[in-house]
Amino acid sequence: MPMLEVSNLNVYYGDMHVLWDLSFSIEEHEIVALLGANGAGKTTTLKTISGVLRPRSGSIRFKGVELTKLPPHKIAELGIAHIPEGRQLFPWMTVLENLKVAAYTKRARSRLSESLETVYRLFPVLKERSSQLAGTLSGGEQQMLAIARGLVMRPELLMLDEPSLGLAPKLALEVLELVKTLRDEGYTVLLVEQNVHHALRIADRAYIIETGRIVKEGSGEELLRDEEVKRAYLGI
Amino acid sequence: MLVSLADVARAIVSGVLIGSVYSLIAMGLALIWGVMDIINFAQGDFMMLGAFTTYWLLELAGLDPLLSLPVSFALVFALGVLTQRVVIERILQAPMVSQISATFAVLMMIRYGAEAAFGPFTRRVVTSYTGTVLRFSWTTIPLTRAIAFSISLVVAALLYLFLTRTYVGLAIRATSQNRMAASLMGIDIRRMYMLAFGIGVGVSAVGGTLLSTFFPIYPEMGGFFCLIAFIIVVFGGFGSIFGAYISGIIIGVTEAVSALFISPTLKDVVAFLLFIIIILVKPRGLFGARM
Ligand SMILES: Nc1ncnc2c1ncn2[C@@H]1O[C@H](COP(=O)(O)OP(=O)(O)OP(=O)(O)O)[C@@H](O)[C@H]1O
Ligand SMILES: [Mg+2]
Repeated sequence: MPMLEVSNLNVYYGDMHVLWDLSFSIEEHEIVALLGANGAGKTTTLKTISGVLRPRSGSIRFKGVELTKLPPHKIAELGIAHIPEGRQLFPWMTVLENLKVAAYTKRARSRLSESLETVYRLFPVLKERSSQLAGTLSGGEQQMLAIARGLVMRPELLMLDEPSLGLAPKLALEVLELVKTLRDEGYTVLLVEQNVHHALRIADRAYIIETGRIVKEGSGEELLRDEEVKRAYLGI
Repeated sequence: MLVSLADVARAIVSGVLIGSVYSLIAMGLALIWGVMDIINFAQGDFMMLGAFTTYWLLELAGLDPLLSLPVSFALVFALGVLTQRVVIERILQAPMVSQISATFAVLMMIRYGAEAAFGPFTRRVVTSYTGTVLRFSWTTIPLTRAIAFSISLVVAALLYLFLTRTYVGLAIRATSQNRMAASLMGIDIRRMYMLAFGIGVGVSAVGGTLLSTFFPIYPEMGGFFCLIAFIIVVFGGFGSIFGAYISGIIIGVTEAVSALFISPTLKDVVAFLLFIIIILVKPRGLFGARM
């Protein structure tokens, strides 16, 4: 049984039909990339999984539990961390307070000190800035904090929405390398990424989404070699 | 008329003392606004309920105001939670006008409910220490006002510690700064709203209890205090709870000093004038930061 199984999901904004019969699945310890052009529906998909948006029909099962009727905080408690597009930090809280809030759930709170050690090891700059207001961090530091918060949540499934957006190229690569390391440490990852080339290189499998429909799926390597993908997304 | 330095000092002291009570009502208003983006027009009426709780507990059970204070907080907290669930919850996504009308309806129900129950009369909370004054070489301070000031400081400090040192407090602040992110971290937003509304009106009720020990109480008393609290909150920067505390004291002092120099009847006019000036110069209030 897949860890996450999305089937026939239909999502609307008002009258606008945005996701059409979307189906895909994620196995445990996989990196699955969800790729597509601007406005394809990637963020909408993640928001529906994490309970921020309600689908009109379809189902989302996480380890056998139906998510579509649950509020976001229950879904977080079940072990899904959604690191949203645009960082969404608590700007008037310190770095440390941001991390503490991320450990709000029972599963995360008991392991907070251990988690802090881990994220400070991964992102030493966050330790240096721990008492600084999150809103005053640089863009790159903010993105690190956003990812660190996701890790502090101690999720089983980590959903990252464009984690490398706005980062310097070198840092962007490091972030994607980190995603791979996290997978090797046992996390399962759903990755939405603009940088299709890099995403396909680290992903075990990927889905291509166009105007709210899955149009292609395959392993990272297959899609890297796929002529259509090359033309449409890799500019080759 | 000659005004001596001692007169000014006395006016400042009395302004700080009354301002510290305004501050409590305003902090509650700022908390509710900061977390839920709702302007609670009934804030002064929840304060009135606190004052009447103290009055009746003294009349009927002989309970000292200092002992009825936690009861007054708890009762109004519970009523706030109920109001949140029954009324506010339903209008959170509604247009601003509907929100204003709804909290206004709550105001009317509380104010005129109290008037129907207790009559429109003015009452006084009288204890054994009501007339006691603290004497200093240059002034005297009524004991009740000194107590009100001290307790106001303690309540503000407790609220500060709650919001910065406890997990639930952090969660309330997180909710006020980014609702979606907070819910994604496992925070139950509805629960935070109930807590914020309950605490916000509960703190106002504590203000009412303190006020009742030196100020006549009547069912319609909330109107003025809600207005002044609103001004304090805008003055301090919307959503900044501790800005609201400091601003409350500034407004209290402004009133007292202008009563001395201009006229007691014009003291509120001067406070409102100062408010308008500050808003024109600093539209985001004196203290821009959020909680
Ligand atoms: N809050 C909203 N209200 C109405 N329409 C929306 C809203 N958010 C997104 N949409 C629309 O839904 C569609 C899918 O948007 P979504 O944000 O999911 O795309 P995306 O794949 O994440 O794009 P991007 O790469 O730009 O982040 C787009 O047409 C977008 O304009
Ligand atoms: Mg997006």
